[in-house]
Amino acid sequence: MLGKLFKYEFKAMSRMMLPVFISFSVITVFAFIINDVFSDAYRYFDSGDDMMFMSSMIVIFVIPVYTLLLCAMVIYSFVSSGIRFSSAMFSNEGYLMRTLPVSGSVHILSRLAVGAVWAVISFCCAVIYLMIMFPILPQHKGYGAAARLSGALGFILGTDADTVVSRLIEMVVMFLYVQMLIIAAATISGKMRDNNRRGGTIAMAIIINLAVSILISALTALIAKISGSDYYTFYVEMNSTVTFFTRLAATVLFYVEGCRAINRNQDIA
Amino acid sequence: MSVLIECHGLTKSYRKFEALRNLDIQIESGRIIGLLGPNGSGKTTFIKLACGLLSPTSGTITIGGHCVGVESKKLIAYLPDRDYLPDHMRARDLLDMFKSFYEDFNYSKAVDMITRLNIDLSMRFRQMSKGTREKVQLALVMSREAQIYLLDEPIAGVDPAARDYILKTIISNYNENAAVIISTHLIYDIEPVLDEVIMLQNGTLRLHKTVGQIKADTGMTVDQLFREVYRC
Repeated sequence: MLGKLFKYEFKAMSRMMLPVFISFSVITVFAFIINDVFSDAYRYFDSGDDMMFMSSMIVIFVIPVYTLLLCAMVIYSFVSSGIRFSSAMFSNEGYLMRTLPVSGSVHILSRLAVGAVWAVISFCCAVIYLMIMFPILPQHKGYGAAARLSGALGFILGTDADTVVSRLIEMVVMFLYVQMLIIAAATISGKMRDNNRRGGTIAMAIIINLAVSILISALTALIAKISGSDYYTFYVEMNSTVTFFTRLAATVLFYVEGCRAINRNQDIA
Repeated sequence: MSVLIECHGLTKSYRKFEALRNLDIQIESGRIIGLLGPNGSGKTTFIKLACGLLSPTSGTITIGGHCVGVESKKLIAYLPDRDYLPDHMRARDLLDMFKSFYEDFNYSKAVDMITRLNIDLSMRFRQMSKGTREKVQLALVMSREAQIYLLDEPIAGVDPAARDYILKTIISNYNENAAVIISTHLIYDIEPVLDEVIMLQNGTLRLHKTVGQIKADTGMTVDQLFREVYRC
C-alpha cells in the first residue's frame, strides 16, 4: 500500500509543483535575457545617459530578485508536501485517505518519501537554473560547465561548509525536520478545526518552530553553563551541533506523535 | 447471521456537547438498516466513529470483531455526505484509483454501473453536476464487495428519478452477507428497501426495530412513526 499511496501522492504533488517549475523556467530565461542585454548597455549608451542609468539599475535588481525567487521555489518545494498532507488528511479528501486500510506510519512515510523526491527534483532544478544564470556573472566568464556546476552547488550548500557530505547530512535532517514540523502543525490545526477553531497550518508550523528554537537556545545555555564555557563562545562554536541534534530529536518525536495521532483516529473536520 | 457492528456505551463529545451518549447497538449481516433522526441526533457522528474518522470519548465500537483500525477499515465501504474525491480526476481515473486502493473493488461492475448512468468516463469530477457526482461516488462505493456499507445521505441532493436509481443500485449490488446502513431524512423514499430502523434522538437510541415490528406494534409506516416521534 505504501507504493500505491506514493504513486497517488506523487501525482498530486506534480499538480502543485510542475506549474512552479514551468513558471520558473520562463522566469530564468527572461532574467537571463534581461541581464545579458542590459549588462552590455555600456556599449550602446554614454555613461551619463539616462538609459545607461536605467540599464544599470535593472542589472542591479534582476539578480537579487531572481535569487530570492529561487530561494522561494526551494522553500515552496519543502513546504508543499506538508501542505499537501494537511489537505489530504484534514479536508474533504481526508474522507478518502483516512478510510483507507493503512496505518498512520504508512500515510506519513509515503508523504515524506514524495516530499524527498520533490525536494531532490527542486534542488536539481535550482542547480540547473543557476548554471543558466551563471555565465552572465562577470567573474565567471571563461569557466567551463564543471566550474559552473560546482559554483551552483556551492551557492546552494553554502561556501562555509566543512565538507559537502556533512552539509548534505545537515540538509537531509533539516528537510525531514521541516516536513515533520508541517505534518505536526497540520495534525494540530486539523484537531483545532474539529473544535470549531481556525488554525492555519503555516502559523502553527511557525509556532512549533519557535518552540523548538527556544528549546535549542535553552539547551545551548544549559550545556554552556554545565561545561563552564562563556555562553557567546559556546553559542558560536557549538550551536549548530545542538541545533542539529535538537532538530533530529524533534523530527523523530513529530514522526512518532504523527503516527499515533492518525492511528488513534484524530478527528476530522 | 453474524454481528458486524457492535457498540457498548459509545459516547462522543465535542467539548461540552455530547453528540452521542451511551449508545448500545448491535448490527447484524444481511440487513438494510435505516439510520434515522433529526439534524444533530448523532447519525453522522455514529457513521464517522464506525469508519475511524472520529475517536470515541468513551465506550467501545467493534467492526466484524475488530477494534476500529486497519482491519476494520478493510470491511467498510463508506459514502460520506459530501464530495470527497479529487475533483481534477476523470471518472476513469477514479475507477483506477479505487481499483488500486481497494482489493475488493469490482472494476467491471463499476464500469457497467457508470456506463448505464450515461456518464462519460473521460469527464472530470468537477465538470459533473451534483447529482452525477453523487451517482459516481455511490457507484464506486457499491462496486466494492465489502461487508458493511455506510451510506451517509446518499439520496439527499438528487432528483426523484435518480433516487429510484440509487435505491435500486443499493438493493441490487450489495452482498447478501453484508449490512447496509443508510442515514437519511428522506424516509418515505427509502422505506420500501429497509429491513430495520435505528432512530436516534439527541445522541441516544430512541428505537431499534425491524420494519415489520414497527408496523405490527404501532400500525404506522416508518415515515408516519418518524413524524410522530419527532413532532416539533
